[in-house]
Amino acid sequence: MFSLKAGVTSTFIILIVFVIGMYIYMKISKKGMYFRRIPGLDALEECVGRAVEMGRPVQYSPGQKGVTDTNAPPTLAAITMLSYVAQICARKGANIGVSIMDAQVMPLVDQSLKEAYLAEGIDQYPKDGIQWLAPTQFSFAAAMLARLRREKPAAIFYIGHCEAETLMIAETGIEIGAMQVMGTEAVAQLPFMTAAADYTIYGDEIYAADAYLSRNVKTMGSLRTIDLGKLFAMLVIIIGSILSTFGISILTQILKW
Amino acid sequence: MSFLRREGPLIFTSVVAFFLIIEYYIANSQLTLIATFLNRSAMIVGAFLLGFGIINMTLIHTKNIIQRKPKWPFSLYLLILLFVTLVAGLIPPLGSNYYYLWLFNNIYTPLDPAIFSLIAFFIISTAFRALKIRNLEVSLMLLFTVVVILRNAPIGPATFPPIGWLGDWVIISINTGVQRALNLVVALGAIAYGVRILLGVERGYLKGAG
Amino acid sequence: MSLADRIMKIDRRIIYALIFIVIFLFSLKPMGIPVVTQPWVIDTYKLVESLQPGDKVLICWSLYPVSNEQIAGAVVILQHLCMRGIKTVHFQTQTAVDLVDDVMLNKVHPESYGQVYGKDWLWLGYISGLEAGQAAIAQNLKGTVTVDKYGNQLSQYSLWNELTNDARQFKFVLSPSAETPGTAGVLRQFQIPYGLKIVESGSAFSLGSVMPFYASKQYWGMVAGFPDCAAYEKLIGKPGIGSRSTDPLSAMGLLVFGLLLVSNIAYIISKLGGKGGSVK
Repeated sequence: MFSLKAGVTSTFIILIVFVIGMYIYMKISKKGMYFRRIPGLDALEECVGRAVEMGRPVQYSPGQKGVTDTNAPPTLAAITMLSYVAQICARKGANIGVSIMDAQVMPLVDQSLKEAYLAEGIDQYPKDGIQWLAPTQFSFAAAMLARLRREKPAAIFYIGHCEAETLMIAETGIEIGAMQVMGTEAVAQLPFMTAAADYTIYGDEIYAADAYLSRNVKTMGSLRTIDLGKLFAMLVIIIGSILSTFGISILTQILKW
Repeated sequence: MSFLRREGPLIFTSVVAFFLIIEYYIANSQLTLIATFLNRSAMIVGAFLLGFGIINMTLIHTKNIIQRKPKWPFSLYLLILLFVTLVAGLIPPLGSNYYYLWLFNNIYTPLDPAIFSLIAFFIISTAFRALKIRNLEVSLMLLFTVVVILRNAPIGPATFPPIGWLGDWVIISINTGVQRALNLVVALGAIAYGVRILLGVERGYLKGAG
Repeated sequence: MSLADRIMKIDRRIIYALIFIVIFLFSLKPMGIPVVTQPWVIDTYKLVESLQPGDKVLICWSLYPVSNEQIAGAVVILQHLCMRGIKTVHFQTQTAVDLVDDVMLNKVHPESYGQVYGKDWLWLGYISGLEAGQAAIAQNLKGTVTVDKYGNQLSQYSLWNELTNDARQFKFVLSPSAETPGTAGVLRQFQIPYGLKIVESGSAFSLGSVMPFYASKQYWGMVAGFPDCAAYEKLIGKPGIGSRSTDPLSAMGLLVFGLLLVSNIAYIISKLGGKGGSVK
C-alpha cells in the first residue's frame, strides 16, 4: 500500500537524519554560540542611519517571486529581513518603500511592516509605500528603476530571489548615490551583486538572517545543523571521489538507492 | 490575537507541507491524487492573488491623481493603459482576441527585450568601474572575466585557440565546482529554513522582528 | 585632473555610445568568423539524430519573449526536430502569450517540413503554478489540460490521442528557459523522478549555471547563446539568427576587453602617480 518510490530511499533517510539532527541541536543549543560576522546583515542599521542623515527614504524589495513555488524560502527570508529593516526605520524615523513583483507577498509585507511599526509603538505604518510594480521581470525592472530615480533612496535593499534585473537596479543605485545591500540564493546573480553592491549577502546567509539578528538560540542551533550537513556532504564527495578513482562505485549505488 | 489567527496559518502550512513531502517519497495513487489537488489549488490561489496587485496599483495611483502629486499625469497614463489592457483581455476569446494580441505583440513584446538589452550597457559600465587590479580577489575576477568574455566571443577561439581551451576549462572545471558548492549549501540552507518554518520555529515573515 | 583620472571617471554615456556604434557597425557587414562546436552542442545534435520519425518530445518553455538569443537555440533544435519528423508537445510556464506561435509559425515554419498542427505538434498553452504546473504535466498530462492554447478540445487531435499519462513516452524534454522554474524545475520534475533526458536552450548567460548538470549528465546537452546556435545551424546546414549574430558578439567581446585594459592601465598609472584613484 505504502512503499517508497524508486530512487528516493537514500535521500529520504538523509532528510530524516537531517531533520532529527536539527531538532536535537535546537534543543541542546545554548546562548553564546560563536557565529562569524555577516557584513551584509551588520550593515542594515548603518544603511538606514545614512538614509536618516541624508533625509532620503529607504527602498526595499523582497525579490521577484512569491511563496507558492520553490522560491518561497528566499522570499520568506527576505520578508523576515524586511521586518528588521522596517523596525529600524520606525525607530530612527526613516521612510520606507517596498516594491513588490509577485502580489502573493503583499499581505505578508503589509503584516510585517504593521507589526514592525507597532513594536516601536507607532500605530501608523507607511502603507502607501508598499507598491506592486508589475508581474513580469523587465516590467518590474523598468518600474523599479523609475521608482529609484524618482524617490532617490539613500539605502536600497534588494534581497530574495533575484534575476537579471539585479544589475540594472544596482547600477541605478550607484548613479543616485545610494548605499546598497543585496542578497540572493540565485548563484548566477552573486557576481553582479559582488561587483555592484556595497554589501552582499551570499546564498544561504539570507536564511541565517533571523537567527543572526535576533540571536534566538533555537534558530542559531539549526544553523549549526546546516554546517554539519555541509561537513557530511564534503566527506561524501571526498570519499566518493577516492572510491570512484579506484573503480569502486558502492557509494554511488547507495546514493542512487 | 486569537490562537486560531496566530497559530492557524502555521498549523495549516505544516500539515499541507508534511503531506506533500511524504507524497514525494511514498508511492501511493491516493496520495498522488490529493497532492495533485493541492498543487492545483496552489496554482489557483496564486493566480487569484494577482488581483491584490491590481487593486494596490489602482489605489495608489488614484490617490496620486486626486492629490495631484508630482508627475500625476503618469499615474493617469498608467491606469488608462492598465484598464485598456484588462478590458481588451476580457473580450472573447479570452486573451486571444485581436485587440489584446495587438497590444501584446506590438507594445509589450518589443518593450520587454528593449529593457532587457539595457543589461548589456550596465554590465559593461559595471565592469569598467569595478574590475580594477585593486587586490588579489578583484584581480582574479578580472582575469577570469576577460578569459570567459574572449572565449564566448567567436573571434577569441578563432584567432587564439588557447583562449577557447582556457575558457572551457574555467567554465567546466572552476565554475562547475563553485556552482555545485553554492547550489549545495543554498539547498541545505533552504531545507533547514523550510523545516524551521514547518516546525513553527521561524516566524519572522508572519510578524515583526524579534 | 590627469588623463588617467579622466579615463577612470569617464561619463558612462560615452561607453554606452561606443557599445551602440560597435554593434551597429558589425551588424551591417558580416565577417563570417568561424565558431567552435562545443561538446554539449554535438551531444544535442546526436540525440536528435538518434530519434525515429514519430517519436515525441516535450517542450517546456520557461521564457518571456525577451531576446532572440534566448530562443535562437530552441528555434534551431525545433527545426532539426521537424526535419527528422519528430512530434512535439509544447507548454509554457510563463504567461507570455504567443511565444510558441511566434517561434513555431514565424521562425520554425513546421509546415515547410510537412508537419501539421494537431498531428505533428501541439501547443497546450500556459500552465499556471510554475513548478507545480510542470509537476502536473509530468504526473498527469491528460488530466491537467483538456483544451489547447486556441481553446479547442484536445481530444480532436490525433497526436493528443496517441499520448498517455506516462512522462516516459517522451524521448527527451527540451527546456528553453531563462526564468523560474527553468532548469531546476525541469530537473526536479522530469529528470529525477522519470529519468528523462533534458536538453537546455537559452542565452549564453545560462551556460555557467547549467554546466554542473551537464557535467554530471543530468542534462544531456545544451545550446546556449548565439555561438552554440551558430554551431548547431552549421551541423544541420541551415544558417540563421545564430550565424548572423556572432560578428557583433565578437566585436563586443573585443570592445569589453579593450575597455577593461584601458581602465586598468589608467588605474595603475594613477596609483603610480601617487594619486588615490577612484575606488568604485
